[in-house]
Amino acid sequence: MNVNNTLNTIVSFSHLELTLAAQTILSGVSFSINKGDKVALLGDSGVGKSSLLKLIAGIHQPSKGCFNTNAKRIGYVFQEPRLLPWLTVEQNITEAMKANGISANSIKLKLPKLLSQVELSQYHDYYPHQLSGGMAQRVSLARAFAITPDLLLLDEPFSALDNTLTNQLTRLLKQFLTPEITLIYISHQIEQVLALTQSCVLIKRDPHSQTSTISQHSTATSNEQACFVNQYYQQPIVC
Amino acid sequence: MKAKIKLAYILYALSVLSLLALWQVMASQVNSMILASPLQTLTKLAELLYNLSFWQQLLVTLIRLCYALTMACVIGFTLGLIAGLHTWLKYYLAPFRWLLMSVPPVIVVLLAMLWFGMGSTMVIFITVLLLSPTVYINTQKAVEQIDTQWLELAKVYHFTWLQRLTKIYIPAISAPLCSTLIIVCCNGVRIVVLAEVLGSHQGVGFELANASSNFDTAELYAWVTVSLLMVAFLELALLRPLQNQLLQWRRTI
Repeated sequence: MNVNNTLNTIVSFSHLELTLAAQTILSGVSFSINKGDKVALLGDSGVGKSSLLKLIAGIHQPSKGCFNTNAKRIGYVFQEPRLLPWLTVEQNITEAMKANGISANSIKLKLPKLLSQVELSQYHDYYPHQLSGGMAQRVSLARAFAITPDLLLLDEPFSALDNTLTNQLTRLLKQFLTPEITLIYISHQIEQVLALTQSCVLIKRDPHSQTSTISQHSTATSNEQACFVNQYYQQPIVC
Repeated sequence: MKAKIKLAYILYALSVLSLLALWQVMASQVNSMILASPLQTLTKLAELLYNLSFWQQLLVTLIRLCYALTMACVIGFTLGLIAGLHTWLKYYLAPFRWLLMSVPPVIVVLLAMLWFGMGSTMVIFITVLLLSPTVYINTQKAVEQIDTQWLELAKVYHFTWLQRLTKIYIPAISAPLCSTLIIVCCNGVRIVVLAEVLGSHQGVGFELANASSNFDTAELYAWVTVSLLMVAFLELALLRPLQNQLLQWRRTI
């Protein structure tokens, strides 16, 4: 990670401020993430992690400061699956693909493979309410990867699932994650953070000045990442 | 599910039979000049069916109804959709909506007769003017209630405006939209017939007025039955399939 906006940078923030409903959510945020980085976004609840992801995805606009992204296609997996209830599994995925300019022929070729990877081939014509929580989140993951994203945003995607399902989905995610894909991952589950990321961005907020402090921790090895994440979660250091 | 549908049809049939029985009892208590019996009405209706003029008058009303409903729905839905997304239009249109929903229909009929004279333009104008605010307000309120999570999703995945319209807005508001369409179709028939009674030389309303002036009670009730059948046709042949299509996914719940 570096702080300059170069060709290798996929997202960069400079003195960014985000205000929503007259409340300052983020202030003084400056950092950047390079292409291919797998970054964990850590911080206490309410510090503005999800808002930062929404800003990257274009849902929110910064009130002040500068935000740049070189990402062409952004995949987003929300805390809840967010599948359109009136569309089938297949339609939920294909609509996202069509919106991202993927041709009908490519969709025809790619969709069966994708559904098979998430083990939902036989459920392609099911509506979201006919699926379990884990299956719905798998569709959400398939939708995010269907558009061949260069930036993947994960906002606590497994928080509502049990450990078995979480581990199953983490394995699935690792299968999909190629070195080209940049990952920004919010999670309070230490095992998943360690399994999927190599570096961390820590957001803290000063309760008096309402200013957000950003600290970036690039790690050369997975052990260093484990040390930092363990320290952050105040658990015994395993490295 | 099939048993439920069967029960629904049995209840519909029972309801219709109760109405017919009540009608027959009432008709037997009063003079046939005041209230024609179901049998007299049906006999007259059967006579009318063999008359070419009946079909011509019915066609005139149906064409007017078709134009008026289409225009009212398109205007009301388009403005409602935009006003639901942009509050400036909602505030700008609020006085117009209030005015059109508050003014008694008969005043609109009188004014329209003054402006357009008697005929189709007047009938269609009145119907559109009186129905589009209902479609508008229901669409606008429904669009305002759409869960922001779907709109966020559309933004993240760069849905086109057509995808937003067909895959998010219309399905998300389909339930209130279907109820609105039923109200609008029923009221549409009422308004078209009322406007024809007051200011037209053709149509079901005109024939109703004629039958009333000639004290032909049986024919009057036959034309009333025709207007009821028009509502039934609109609801069963057009709205029910549309509703089934839009709310198809709910049937799997």
